[in-house]
Amino acid sequence: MLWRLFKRGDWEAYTKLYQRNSRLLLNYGHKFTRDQALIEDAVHDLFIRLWTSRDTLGEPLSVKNYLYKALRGILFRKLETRSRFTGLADDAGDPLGFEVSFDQVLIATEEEQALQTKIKAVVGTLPPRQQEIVFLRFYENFSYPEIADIMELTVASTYKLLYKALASVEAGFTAVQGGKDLPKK
Amino acid sequence: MDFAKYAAFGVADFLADDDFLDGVLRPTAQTELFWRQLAERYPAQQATLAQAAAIVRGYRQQDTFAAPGLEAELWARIAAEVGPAEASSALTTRPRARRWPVLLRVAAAALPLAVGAGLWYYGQDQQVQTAYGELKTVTLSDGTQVTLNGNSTLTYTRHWGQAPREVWLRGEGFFQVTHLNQNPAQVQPGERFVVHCRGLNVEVLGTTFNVNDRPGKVNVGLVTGKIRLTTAQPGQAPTALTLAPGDYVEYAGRHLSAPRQLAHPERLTTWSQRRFVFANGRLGDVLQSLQDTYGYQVKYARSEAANLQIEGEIDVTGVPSLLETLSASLHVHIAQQGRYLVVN
Repeated sequence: MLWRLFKRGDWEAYTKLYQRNSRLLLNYGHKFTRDQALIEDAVHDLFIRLWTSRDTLGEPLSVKNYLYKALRGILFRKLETRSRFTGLADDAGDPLGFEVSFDQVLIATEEEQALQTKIKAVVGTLPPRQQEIVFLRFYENFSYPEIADIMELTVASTYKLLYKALASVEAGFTAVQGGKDLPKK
Repeated sequence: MDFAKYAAFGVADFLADDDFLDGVLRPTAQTELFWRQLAERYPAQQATLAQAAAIVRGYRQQDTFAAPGLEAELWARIAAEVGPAEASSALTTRPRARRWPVLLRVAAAALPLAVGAGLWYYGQDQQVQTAYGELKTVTLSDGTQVTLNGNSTLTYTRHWGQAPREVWLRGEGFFQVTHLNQNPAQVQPGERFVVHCRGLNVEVLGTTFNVNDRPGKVNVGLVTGKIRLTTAQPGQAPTALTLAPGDYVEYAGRHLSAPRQLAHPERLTTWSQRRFVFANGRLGDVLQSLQDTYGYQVKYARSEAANLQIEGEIDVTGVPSLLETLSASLHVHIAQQGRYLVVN
């Protein structure tokens, strides 16, 4: 298996690990910040650390899970450092924002376009952690335990956080249909 | 799975349910049957189910950040730092058998630029056009990503449904096609993906490839996956050719060349980083591609200069560096004056 080969120092296996995961990791990073250089540095640091500490690594249940969790940690530290220097702190001191975008997609029908607009609006009102959990579940398709691991939550908290997000999403959709304003969180 | 638990589910409940999500993302005959039966048993839930599924699918249409040049650059940094000595060129020395992005270049006459580049509707079709020198990445409704080089146009029908996915390309594009085929023994129409270029159709099942479609010829280079080329000239018996990874063909004068193996197929997409990488080229061809992509007009003081051969390898970033390097190595003076490239 690729992970085992890589741990034994197989450079080709390590290259493959990068090829298979770099795009999605960069994409994930892009949700936290638009600072391209910072995201690149984070992915760079991740892979350097991966190689240099390969002897000490265990057998993760899912390589993707492991990489996401590691990248998230690196990004958090970099963004936190940056926010301390620039004095730009988020409310509650959370340097990790999270935002998905729907700009590039070219939609086939007007119906789908309307749905897109609604989704974008509804998801956009969620706080960052809820946006992230929705992303990890519906875009990356991680399981509850994997999400818990990546976001450093208990599995129970994961269910709760996701459900909170989904309740808001549902409310956003039914409210719009009913012609009412979006309910406040 | 039992029906009763879903009887009173709301949209949020369905979205939170793993079996539901699985059914939307990875439908099987069995699960499709289950959800259909559920909807029949509880008709009130039909709308809820549909809403939840639509939200999942719509959400997954979001932008994916993709920059193939960036990934390669980043890897070069990593390899340089921790890799074995020869690994810094790891990306260019992988053996043929590996999976690489498919680069398909289709060169054919570019359409005259409409006023203002961008996205617009053309009858039933949707079209994206880049200005000279502009790079743009487009995500299609099936998730396929197309990165367009300057002065290029991508056209496609607005609603694929169960029909084969078809696009028309003029210019240059790097395609990463969503692989939909489930059963290679039985390809469904909707799983096919066809790129139409002048005189040539490129069919893929799901792979990545670069297409260079510029005046005079169509170049097709396959890096990973499998593609089938068919020529579509009227009055000609159609010819079909299947390419294997690493194969490269040229289609010019209605004639499809025999495939040859590329030593460095990944060089076909260096344009996405504004890098110019090639070996042993003809000056005229290089300047012609600058003309096609960036809109320069080339003027030669002596027309024979176009035949000058560039010995050795060139790898530079940005047009000014390219012109400098060419000038130095060929003992000519190539100057950029506004939109003119003047060769003395």
